[in-house]
Amino acid sequence: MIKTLFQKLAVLFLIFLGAVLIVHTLIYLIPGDPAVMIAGEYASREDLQRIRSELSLDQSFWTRYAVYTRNILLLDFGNSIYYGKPVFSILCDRFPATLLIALLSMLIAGAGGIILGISSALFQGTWKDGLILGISSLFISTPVFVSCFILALVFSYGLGLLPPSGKMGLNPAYMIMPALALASRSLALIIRVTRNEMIDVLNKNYIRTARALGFPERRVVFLFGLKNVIVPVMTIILLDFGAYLGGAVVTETVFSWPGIGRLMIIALQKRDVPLVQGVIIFGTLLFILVGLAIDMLPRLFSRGSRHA
Amino acid sequence: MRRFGNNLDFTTRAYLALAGLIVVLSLFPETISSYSPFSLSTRGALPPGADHWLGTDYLGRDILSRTLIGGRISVLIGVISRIGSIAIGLAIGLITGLSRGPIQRLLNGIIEVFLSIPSLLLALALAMVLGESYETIVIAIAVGTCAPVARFVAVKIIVMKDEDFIISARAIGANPVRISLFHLLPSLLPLLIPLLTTGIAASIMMESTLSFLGLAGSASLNTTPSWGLMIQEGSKFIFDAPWIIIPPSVMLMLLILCFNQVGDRMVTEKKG
Repeated sequence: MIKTLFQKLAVLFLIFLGAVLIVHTLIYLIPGDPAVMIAGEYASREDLQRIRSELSLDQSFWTRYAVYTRNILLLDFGNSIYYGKPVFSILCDRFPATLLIALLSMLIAGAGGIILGISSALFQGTWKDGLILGISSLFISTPVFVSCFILALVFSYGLGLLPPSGKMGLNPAYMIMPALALASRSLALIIRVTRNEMIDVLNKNYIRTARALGFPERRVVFLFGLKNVIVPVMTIILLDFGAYLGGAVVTETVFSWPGIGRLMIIALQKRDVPLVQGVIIFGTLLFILVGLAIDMLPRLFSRGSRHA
Repeated sequence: MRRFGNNLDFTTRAYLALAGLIVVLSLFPETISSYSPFSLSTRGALPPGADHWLGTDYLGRDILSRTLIGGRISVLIGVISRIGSIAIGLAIGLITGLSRGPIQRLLNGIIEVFLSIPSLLLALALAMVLGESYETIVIAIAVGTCAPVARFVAVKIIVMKDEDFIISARAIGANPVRISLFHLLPSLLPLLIPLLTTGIAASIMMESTLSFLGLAGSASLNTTPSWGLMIQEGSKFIFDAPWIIIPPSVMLMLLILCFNQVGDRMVTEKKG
């Protein structure tokens, strides 16, 4: 297991270098002189020259890539033009907010999705099943920003229960709507996967045997059944979690939540190149690490494949 | 040969018909609404009433006709970008599947790299390079979502390469181009149709998201609005004039629901 982990890490490192290359190429292609963007329109020629050599902008493409890659491996993502601070420290400042909202929404989507998915499988073919499936189809077809506005209109405008946007420390009132909006599509996906896997498993022979042996139905479903649907369901949960860690761009923008996703939009609007580059690479790194966790998941849950 | 559509059940046809209705109305909005989607009025943001059935936005433009016409952009971008994404993915997948040794490993690696970058972040970075416009959105979606298609095609080709009909084609001396065009492609295309239908729903959703985030640029008064753009403009007045964003939101959900359902039903039919 340790050996495969290291092999996978080596492959992932190469993939990460490739991703940095792609992002670097994109940034390289952005029209406009980065030195002028940093120093402003009226900078003197000497200043521009100094900035160019400081950021090695006068070097060739591959030298710049090598320098940039070395710097990120040393956790130096350069300085943000707009904030005037190191990009890495901004990312560190903002990441906890994103992590908080991602964790909360995964908790909602995971718990809700598994419970509703199992009930849907147990009521297969009845109106309850139809209702749950219908709601999940609707949720899957709703873009996140539409969910955000529906929530804002209902809870903030209509009922006046929750503040419309912002973040105040750990006050949960501000977290409910962003977390719900983010959770809505994952919830629907998890319901479907749980339902389909559960129906598959419940038709297997060993479940029939367990029922014939007289195990109580609750134990059959939650112990023998659930154990076998947990891996595909966890895969979906982690996949979404990975995407959200890289910034729930829409949700954070609508609710002015000070996380990585909103940072990305600010960086784009201010044309802050180092910051854009930093956010994308940070998001990609998290996405790759979560992918690794998904790869290792079956090994953690099933004893059988340990020797494989 | 069976005609397309013969094997679809009633519900699938109903969803297809609803999607068709939305498309037809977007092409001929004047059948329902007598107002131009672009004409301004000094009295902005009127609530729904007898005159303007769904009200007007903050520039006094009729929301009903804007909502109807907005379907054009969403459907057009959704379909074109998905076809583009499948075409790019198909080409890369074919080459990857047919190559061998280190070249195949390299191409596979490139696909893996693209899969590892979150597609929304990739699309946003592309927008910074290309500037803000509807064309940018098409390219961003096509490039951002082609990697899964490429992997799907590559895996299928690697399996198909060893099947008898390809081996016999190679035995009679067909060159690789001929084999891919006349032997591999016809067997691949039916597998790509479900990718197209479910993919269109995802593309429409991504288009609206990117428009909403401002990648369509700030629309000048005469550009055809997309639903995402309308929602973005209306979101500034959401608590004062909630009727501005509700119609485009509802249409967006309906259209995505239709394509999702049709796609899902086609996939399950294939299996069953």
